[in-house]
Amino acid sequence: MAENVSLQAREREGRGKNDARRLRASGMVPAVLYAHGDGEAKVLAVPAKIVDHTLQHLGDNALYDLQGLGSGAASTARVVDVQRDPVKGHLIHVDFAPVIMTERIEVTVPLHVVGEAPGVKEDEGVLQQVLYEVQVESLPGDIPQELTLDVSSLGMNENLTLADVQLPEGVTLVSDPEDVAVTVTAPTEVTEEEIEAAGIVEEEAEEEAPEGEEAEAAEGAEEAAAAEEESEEQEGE
Amino acid sequence: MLVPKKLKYRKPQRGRMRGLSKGQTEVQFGEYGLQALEPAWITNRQIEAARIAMTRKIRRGGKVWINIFPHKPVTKKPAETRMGSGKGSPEEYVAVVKPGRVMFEMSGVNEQLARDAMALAAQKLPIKSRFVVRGGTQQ
Repeated sequence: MAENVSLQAREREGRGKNDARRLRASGMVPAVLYAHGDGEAKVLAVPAKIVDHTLQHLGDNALYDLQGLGSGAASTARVVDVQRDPVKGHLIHVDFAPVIMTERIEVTVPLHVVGEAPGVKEDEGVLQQVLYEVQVESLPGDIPQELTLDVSSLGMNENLTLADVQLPEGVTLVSDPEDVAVTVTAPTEVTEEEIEAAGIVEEEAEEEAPEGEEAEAAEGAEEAAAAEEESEEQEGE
Repeated sequence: MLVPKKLKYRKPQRGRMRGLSKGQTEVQFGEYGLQALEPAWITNRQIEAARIAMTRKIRRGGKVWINIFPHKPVTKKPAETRMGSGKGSPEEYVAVVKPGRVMFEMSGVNEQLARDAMALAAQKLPIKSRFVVRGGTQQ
């Protein structure tokens, strides 16, 4: 686990969308630090750039030393929830939970596949990763940044479960060890019949058609219809 | 083509598409996705065309998820009909898509092939969209 990230946080007084908008414009992001024990939750403002950079490079389970929160001593926390703008991707709000370094916690760790499966290389199968995240329990200082699963022995129609994941010392699996994590299956192919049945090719041909004679014919029909309508209106009058 | 099994109301009002997508804004099932950047009604024909374009490109292998469903019937009056005489009859079904929605997902292929396949799928849609990677930054 990498070293804790030092974060200069401050308690914020303002509330509401207008204050939050001004805060974001100044390079900070609204945040909250959950209560621990009998204490109260704290409403914070933290630097958006540092949190965003840490989330992208050290993952969701990085630990932060929150500084500048009254009592003087830095309190350790981790990010438990993040809100992002779905289009622009920038941070909108961050939730921190306090961490006690001697208490084991449950966290979600990303699962990555390494190696080349013989089922893909030799039998032309398709490697499908079923699970991308694993729930584990460990001390906050021992949380792995990611877990890896070696697929270099995986043949066609075989699968690997979470029990096959190599866990670092001090980390225990919380997810069901029998859950399938990676599998190699036969490829599915789109047949010409299926494409024809969907009628996609024909539709495209129809859409592109209005050129030349057909377009002229269509225009002629429109003019005729307009003339007919006019004559009907005159008769009505 | 995707069509609802049954409808509560045959001729719903059109509604507005304000704001951003509330859910399904990240890649959840596969490794790569196609994210909408504009609001639009996506018809079931467009969804099917995009799906076929994608699966044709990736040929062997890979898995595709469609995260949008055309729940909404759209009515149309017949051509050259005078106004009045009530609302037209249902003609097609559309999915209401707002910016940020991950419409299609894919896995089991390399990133370049997924990019190419998604680019073909994007051609079939009436909106701007972009390629996104699971857990990655916006691209």
